[in-house]
Amino acid sequence: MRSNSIRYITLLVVAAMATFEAAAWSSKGHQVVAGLADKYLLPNVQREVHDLLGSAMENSAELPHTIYYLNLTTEGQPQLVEGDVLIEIERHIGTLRNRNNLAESEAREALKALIHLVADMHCVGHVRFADKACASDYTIYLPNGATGKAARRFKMTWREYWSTEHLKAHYGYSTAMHIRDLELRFKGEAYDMAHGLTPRDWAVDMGCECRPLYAWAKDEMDIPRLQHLALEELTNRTLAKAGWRLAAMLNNIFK
Amino acid sequence: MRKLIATFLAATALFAPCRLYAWSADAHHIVGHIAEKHLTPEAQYMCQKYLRYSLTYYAVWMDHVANCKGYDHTRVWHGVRFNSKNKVLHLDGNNAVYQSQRLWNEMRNGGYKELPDSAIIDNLRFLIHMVGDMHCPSHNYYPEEPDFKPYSIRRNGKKVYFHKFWDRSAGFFNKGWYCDDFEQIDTYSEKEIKRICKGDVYRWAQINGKDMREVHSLLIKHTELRDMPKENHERMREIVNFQLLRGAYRLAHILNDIFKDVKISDYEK
Repeated sequence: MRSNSIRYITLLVVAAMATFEAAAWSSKGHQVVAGLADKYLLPNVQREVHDLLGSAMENSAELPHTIYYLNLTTEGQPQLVEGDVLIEIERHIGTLRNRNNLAESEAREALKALIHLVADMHCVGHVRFADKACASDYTIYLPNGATGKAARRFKMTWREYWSTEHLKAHYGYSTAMHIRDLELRFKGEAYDMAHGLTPRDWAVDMGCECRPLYAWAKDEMDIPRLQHLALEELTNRTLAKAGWRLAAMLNNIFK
Repeated sequence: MRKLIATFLAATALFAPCRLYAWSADAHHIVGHIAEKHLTPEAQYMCQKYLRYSLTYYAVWMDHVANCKGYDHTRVWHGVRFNSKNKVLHLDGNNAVYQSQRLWNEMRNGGYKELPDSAIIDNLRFLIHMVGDMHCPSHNYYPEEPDFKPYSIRRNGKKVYFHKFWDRSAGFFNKGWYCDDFEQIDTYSEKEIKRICKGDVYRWAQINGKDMREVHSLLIKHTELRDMPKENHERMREIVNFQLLRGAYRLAHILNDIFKDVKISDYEK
């Protein structure tokens, strides 16, 4: 009886940890990045990518079990420490460039990981500055702004906030609708967002985007409603950057 | 004493502004998404110029800011109350109909050119939301008539209030649909759309006020939802989908009218 209870509790803990570990962008966020990238692949590249994956990119953005952070110095330069998302991305790029000498399954796994990790790298909650390494686990509260009995404060971690909260507000949106909004808003900037940049440049850019936010972030802080709405612009911009950068990178690898 | 309390409660209900939120997010997104399909190129250009995103993107914005300082006065602009003759009760302008008409009047005939960009953007975001809200069955209130008082039903044994049920009805009656799946019900002809959009916001409200009385008989009081007749379910789905389309067509009509004199080439110089 006792061992059954222990087994049950262990299973619960493992399940809880697995959920926690997997929290990067919500699956919708990954689908949006992959779907946007897919739309901007060169026709021959798109054919090869779809053949390798056996489907459109949007369907291959599932979550891996390990979480990778973009580790930056206090000044916002890549730290390139073991387990860093940037190192993983560069490793998978190497695998894909060498795909003709590898088994198809190996190339497929590398491509899937790349689709996922490029999105993760552009999630604000996945950036870690040396002086605020634990910020992703900060507890934050999102008040609904109401007073009296109607007042609510929704509790989440900093990482969960950036992964899900803004996307969640667009309930009922299909991936195509999200992509359309990103195109409407950022298409004019797509070239500058992606052209001629390497993953290390992306890392520095994310450092510039995130540094003021991390200076402001505090454990147990409230994010007021209007601020929350204004921050959605950053979520959208980072999603757009991830999508167009992923497309540019795959166009380069598979050209 | 009881009479006194009842009179007080009735008076409170009659004069209380329409504070609660209406359609859930997906229904607002549907209205915005379908409306966008019916915009003239000029209206689409101008909406995009000011909003920078789609109409859909801002369809729920008004709910999000309802409790924020500077916007809290808009909390009471989400619904509409009628008297027994389906005439809109004015309530000092605290309803979606008055405010939608006011913003339309303020912006039409080039009126938007007199406004700062920030006011145009806010007005557009208000219109996108309020025109949707006034088409939500549960946001058409009849405070003078006891027969049309909101009530509860049961869904899988759990109590669900009239208001909440209709708020979420778009998703309930069209399970598994994303907002863009609703394009398949957008089948009205130009002539029919013209008929739906005839008149002003007050006329639309009056038609809604008359039509929305039916939902009270279809959704049977205190009854388990799955036990209600199939015909009731079908009719309710029909009404919900029609209201979504009505809202979308009328929203597009307002925006097309506001920006009807625009020459895109003037802005692209």
